Amino acid sequence: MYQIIKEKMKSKVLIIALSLYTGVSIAQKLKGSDTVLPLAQKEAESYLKVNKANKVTVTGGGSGVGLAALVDGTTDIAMSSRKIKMSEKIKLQDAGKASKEIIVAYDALAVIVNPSNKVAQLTREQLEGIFTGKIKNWKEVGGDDLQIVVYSRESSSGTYEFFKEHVLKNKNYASSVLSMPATGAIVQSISQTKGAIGYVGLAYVEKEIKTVKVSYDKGKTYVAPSMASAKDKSYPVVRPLYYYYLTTMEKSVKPFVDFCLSPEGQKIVEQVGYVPLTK
Amino acid sequence: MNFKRNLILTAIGVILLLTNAKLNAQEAPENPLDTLARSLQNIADDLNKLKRLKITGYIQPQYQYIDSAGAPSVAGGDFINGTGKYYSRVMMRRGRFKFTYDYKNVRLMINTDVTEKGLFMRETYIKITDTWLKMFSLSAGLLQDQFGFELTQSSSERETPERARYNQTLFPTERDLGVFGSMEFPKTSPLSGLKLDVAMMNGSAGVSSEFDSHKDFTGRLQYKKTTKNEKVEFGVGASYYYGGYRIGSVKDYNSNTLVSGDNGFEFAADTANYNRVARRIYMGADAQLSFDWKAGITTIRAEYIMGEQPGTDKSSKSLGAAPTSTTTGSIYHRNFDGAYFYLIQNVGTSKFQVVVKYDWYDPNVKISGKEIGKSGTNTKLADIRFDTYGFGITYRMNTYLKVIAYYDVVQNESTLVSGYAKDIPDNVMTVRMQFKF
Repeated sequence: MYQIIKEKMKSKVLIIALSLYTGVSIAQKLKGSDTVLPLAQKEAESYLKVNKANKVTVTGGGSGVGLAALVDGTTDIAMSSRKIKMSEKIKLQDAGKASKEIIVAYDALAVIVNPSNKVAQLTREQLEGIFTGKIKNWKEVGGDDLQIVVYSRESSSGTYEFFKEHVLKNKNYASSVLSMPATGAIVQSISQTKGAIGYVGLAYVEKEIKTVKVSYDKGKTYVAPSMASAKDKSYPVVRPLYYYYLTTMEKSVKPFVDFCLSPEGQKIVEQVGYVPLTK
Repeated sequence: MNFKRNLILTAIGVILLLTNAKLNAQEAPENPLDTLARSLQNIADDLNKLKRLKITGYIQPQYQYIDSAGAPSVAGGDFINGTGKYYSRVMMRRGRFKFTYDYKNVRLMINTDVTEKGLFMRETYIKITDTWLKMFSLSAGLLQDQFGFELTQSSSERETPERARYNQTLFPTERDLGVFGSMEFPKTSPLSGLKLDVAMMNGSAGVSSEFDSHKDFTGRLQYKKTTKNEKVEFGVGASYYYGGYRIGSVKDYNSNTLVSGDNGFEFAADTANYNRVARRIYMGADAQLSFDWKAGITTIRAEYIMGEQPGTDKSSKSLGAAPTSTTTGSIYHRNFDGAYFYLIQNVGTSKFQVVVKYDWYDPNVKISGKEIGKSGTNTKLADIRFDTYGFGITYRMNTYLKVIAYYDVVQNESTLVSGYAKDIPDNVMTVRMQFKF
């Protein structure tokens, strides 16, 4: 018995020593998009359950912050809800670095209002009018006589840029739009403000706010943001979510990235409220 | 008596101590989490104060090798006379330490250059950004000259060791004392990408105190845009410099066709010349294009400049010092032009980058070749055109460290000026290491 215990102890010590020697105990940092944040957190939690020796830390701040951290070398993976910009690519090259882009999930961008708002659907053109400041009152789009309070993310956010490009067709946000530093703050503000409207990733949709159906064919058909409508591609405002990492770091980040792309990781994508990758 | 007094004092002390202990004992013990939160808040406050100050910079030690000892060069300055056919040197080209202090919408910046030559101030200014639209800023102090693209690009980011010859001649220190206003449209504006810089400067290149009430003005309008797919980035710019230099002499030399039929400088000695401001006018246009493709990111840049420049018989370099006496400070008025062209190719996604550069500077476009140095034309070394072909490769080790190997082929016009009958041996090889922090 003693011999068996001794042998087991020996093998454990050997495994720990080997882990230390081969660097199996890996600390990984993920930084960037607030949209990707809840997904990365859940993925990290599940990943750590089976990779106990590893350490993964996830922080938000916006896609721009994450990609800047990748250039600075203060993160291993940049989370982004937009494609890397040309200027960021040049900065990476100037630092002698090359990045690899991985799509980890898709996100349906939901337009949200206060639950007391009776407006249930909006066309893209109406959304453009609201966010550019041309439509100022809910009665102009079939709602109550109530002033519209528009919430948006800050300009460093990938969601901000995606919404501008795809919904506003690159027109500029009205100067009266209230910029919020995080998606959670948008949800909270809209849940507390009667005339409020904003946009968040599907994963942020909760009971305190109401999603609005959107039409991209000038009011012929309206589609609600949901997992099903995003999957069958009937919902029009869907975008990819990215991980960016340095090619030189591939060996150390790949186990985590592979886990995110695995069936188990993609199941988490769906649980969090995002759209998994189609095979 | 003393014993009694000490006894009373001791008794009072003991009572006070006990009272204090009792009072302390009556205070509710603080929640450890509150203590921790307060400590963290104090640390955060201190950290925020410290974060206002940023220290950045870079150092550039380099080895250089030139075709002949004592050759004049714009690749880090003239080479000192020596013996032998070739000449080499190790030098600290730049040692920049930049201190930036940001508080709300105000920035204080001090930029120093520390090399074997000593400690020099490069920039010292205060910058105020408007808090409402955040698109206007005003800077005052010793500032970077605002003209064209290459001049305003940091030497730590430039792909070649030195700026084009014309930039080094027209803006020898790249700095000046004055006020500089900037207007940049925000991302949310339809005019996003458009930037206007306007500056009023002493015109003394920041090397001497102002010596007259005449001020120089510069303006630069630029536009930068990236395509939606983030694969192509382009920029265009136009710059204008309107200034002058007070003539400290009655002697004046204007470029003209002489009585002899030759092109050269016409001499005029007139008391009206004294204290007159000689025109210093530059006009420039620049364009940049970067695109990301299979071979890696490619960048093409070009810039052209033309104008009028007051100089001396020996040099067309911008005059920074106060005008000299009536007998020695003759001014030569020249019409010049110059340009550069860059082709930069990142080798795939590797750490290597190759660069090819061509630039020219013709200080006097009205005269060329064997006309220069001809008897009676008053034309000299300062009128010779130079063409430079540069080739280099950069290895970027990491965010902080890079090494560049670069070779400049410098060609001058064949003239009648002594020593410049043919191309002089002044090609330079530079191997530079840069650490940026």
